[in-house]
Amino acid sequence: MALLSVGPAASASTVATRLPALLFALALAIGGLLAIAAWGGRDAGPEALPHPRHPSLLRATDGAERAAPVAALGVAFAALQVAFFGGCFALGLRRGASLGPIARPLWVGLALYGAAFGLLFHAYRGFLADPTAPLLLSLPRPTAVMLYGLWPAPLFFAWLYLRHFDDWVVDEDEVARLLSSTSEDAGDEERGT
Amino acid sequence: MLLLYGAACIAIGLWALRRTRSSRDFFVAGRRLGVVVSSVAIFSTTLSGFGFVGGPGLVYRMGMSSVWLVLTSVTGYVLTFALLAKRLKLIAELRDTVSLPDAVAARYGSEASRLLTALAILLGVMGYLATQILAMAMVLRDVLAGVPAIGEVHLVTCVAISCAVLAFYCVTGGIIASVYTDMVQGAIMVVAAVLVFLAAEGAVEGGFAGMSSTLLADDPESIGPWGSLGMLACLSWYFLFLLGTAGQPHVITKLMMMRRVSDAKRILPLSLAGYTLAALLWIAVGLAMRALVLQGAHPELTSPDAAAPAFLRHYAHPLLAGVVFAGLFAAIMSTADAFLNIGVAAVVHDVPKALRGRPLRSELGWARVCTVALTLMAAAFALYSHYANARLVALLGVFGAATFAAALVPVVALGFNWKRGTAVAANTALVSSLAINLGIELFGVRLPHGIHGGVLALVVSLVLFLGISLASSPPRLDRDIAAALDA
Repeated sequence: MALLSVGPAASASTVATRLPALLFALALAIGGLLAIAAWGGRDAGPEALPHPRHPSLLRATDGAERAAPVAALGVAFAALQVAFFGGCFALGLRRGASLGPIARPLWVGLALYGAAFGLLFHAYRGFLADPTAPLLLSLPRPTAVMLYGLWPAPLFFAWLYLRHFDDWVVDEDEVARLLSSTSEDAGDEERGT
Repeated sequence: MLLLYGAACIAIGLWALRRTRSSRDFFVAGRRLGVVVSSVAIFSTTLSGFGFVGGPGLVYRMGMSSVWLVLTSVTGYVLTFALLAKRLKLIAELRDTVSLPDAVAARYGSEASRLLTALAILLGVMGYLATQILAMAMVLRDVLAGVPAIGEVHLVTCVAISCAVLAFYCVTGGIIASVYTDMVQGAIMVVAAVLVFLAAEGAVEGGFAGMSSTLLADDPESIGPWGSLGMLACLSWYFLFLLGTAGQPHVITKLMMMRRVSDAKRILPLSLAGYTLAALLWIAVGLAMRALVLQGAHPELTSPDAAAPAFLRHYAHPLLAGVVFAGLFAAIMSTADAFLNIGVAAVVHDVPKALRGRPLRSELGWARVCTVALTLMAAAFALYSHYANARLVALLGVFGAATFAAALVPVVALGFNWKRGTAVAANTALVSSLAINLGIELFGVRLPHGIHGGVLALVVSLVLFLGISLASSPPRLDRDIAAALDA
C-alpha cells in the first residue's frame, strides 16, 4: 500500500522509483509462470480437436480434465495481469513523483477488476460441475460474467482517467508553460547565452 | 455501395491534396486533428478487416476463445491513453516529430533507437499491408461476383483496383486523406455492426439464448469463457493485446496528431464506444453461424473466414449486406492506409535521418513516390504469397502484430513514462523482440496449452528493458525531454 500512498508520505523515491521495479518483478513472475506452464504441459495433449461432424469447427477436449492441471496457473496469471495493468496505469498517471488523488481510487479499481476475474473463475468451477445450469442473460454463467462483468470492469479506470483529467492528468496551463519555457531554452542556446 | 464508397475516397483525396503542403501535413496531419476525427481514426484503424472477417471466423471455429481479444478493448485503450496521450503529444510538440521513430530518437537521444524502431515498423507493415491488400481484393471479387452484369473478376484485377484507390488518396492527401476517409469508414463500420448484431439475434431461433443452448448441447466449452482453446491460451492473448494496444504504431501515432493534449479527454470515450459497438459484429456473427451449422440449418462452411460473408448473403437484408460489405472494405482500407503512411515515414524520413543524420531534400515529394512504390511492393508480395507461398504473408502478419507489442510496449509505452529507461535497454529490447518473434515464426515454435508465442517475446523484452535500465546509471536527458516525462 505504501507504494501508491499519497500526501506527504509519498516521497519522490516511493512512486517514481518503485513502480518500474514492481513491473520488473511482475514481468519476471509472468516469465516464471510461463516457464512452469511450458514445462508442465510439455506432454499435454491438444486443448481442442477437429469436430467429429463439422471439420470447419474445433471441439474442446473435456473441460474438467483440461482445466484441472492449469487452473492454479490461470488464477495466478490473471492476478499478475491485473497487477501489471495497475502498475502501468499508475506509471502513466503519476505526476512527478506522486499519484496524487488517483492513488486510493486506483486500489478500488484494481480490487474491482480482480474481483471480476475471481467471479469468473468461481463461476467457471460451477459450470464445469453443471454445464446445464440456467442461462444468465442468454449465456452460461461464467460467459455472462466475462462479457457483462470482466469486459466493462476496467471502465472504472477510464472514469478515473477522465474524472481527474483536468486537475491531475493534464493541466493546460502547465503544458503551455512547458512548451514556452523549452522554446525559450532553445532560443538561449541558439544565441549562445 | 462500394462504388459510392470508392468515389468518396477519391474525392477526399483530392480535397486533402490542397491541405497537404509539408511532410508534417503528410505524416501527422500538421498535428491539428479535431476530437471526432481523431476518435474515429483511432478505433477504425484498430479494428481492421480482421474484426469483420477474421474475428467472426475465429468465434465460428473455436467459440468464445477469440472474444478475449475484444475484451482487451477497454483495458488496452485506457492503458494506451494513460501511458501515451500526454507524453507522446508533448514530445511531438517539443521536438516537432513527424513519426514514432522520430519521437523515440528524441526520447532516447539515439539514432540507433530510431533505426531499430523504423526497422521493426517496416517489417511489420509489409506483412500487414500485404494481408490487407489481399483481403480488400478478395472482398471486391466476392462483391463483383454477385453482380450479374460483371460476374467473375480475376484476383489480380481486384488487387489493381483496390491498390489504385488506396494509393490515389494516400499519395494526394497523405494522412489527412487517410483520417478523413476513416471518418466515413468508421461511421459505416458502427452502423453495419449494430444492424448485423440485431440480424444475428433474429437469424437463430430463440435468439442468443437459442445459440447458447445449441452450443452447450454440442460442446459446453465452446460457449464457456475459454472456448475451444482453453484457459492459458485465452489469458495469453489477453495479456498480449492488453499491453499490445499501446504498442501498435498505426494507432499510437494518431495520438501525436491531436490538436491539444487535453483533447485526449474526449477522444478516449469516443474511440472506446466506437470500437465496442463495431466489435458486436465479431461476436454475434461467429456465434450465430456456429449455431446454424450445428443445427443443420446452414451447410458446412468451406472455411471459418467464410462465416461473415455467408451470414450476410443468407441472413441479412440485401441492403444491409451492401452496407456491411462496404463497411468491411472500409475497415480493411482504413487499416491499410494507416500502415502505408507509417511505412512511408519509416522509409523516407527515419531511415535517412538515422543513417545520414538529416532528412531527404523535398521529403514530401519522396513520400508520394514511396507511397506508390510501397503499395506496389505490398501488392506484389500479396499476390506472390497467394499464388506461390501462402505462409509468407501470414508469417509476416503475425510477426508484425507480436513484434509491435514486444518492441514498442517497453520502449515507447514504458520508456516515455520513466526517465531511467536507457537507450541501451531500448535497443536491446527492440533487437530481442525482432529476433524472438522471427525465430518463433520461422521455426514454427509452439508453446504448450496454446499459449501465444508473442507473449514470450513481450515478457523477455519487458524484462530486458526494465532490468538493464534498473541496473544502469540514470541517463542524462535533455531538459525539455526530462520536463515532458515529469509533466
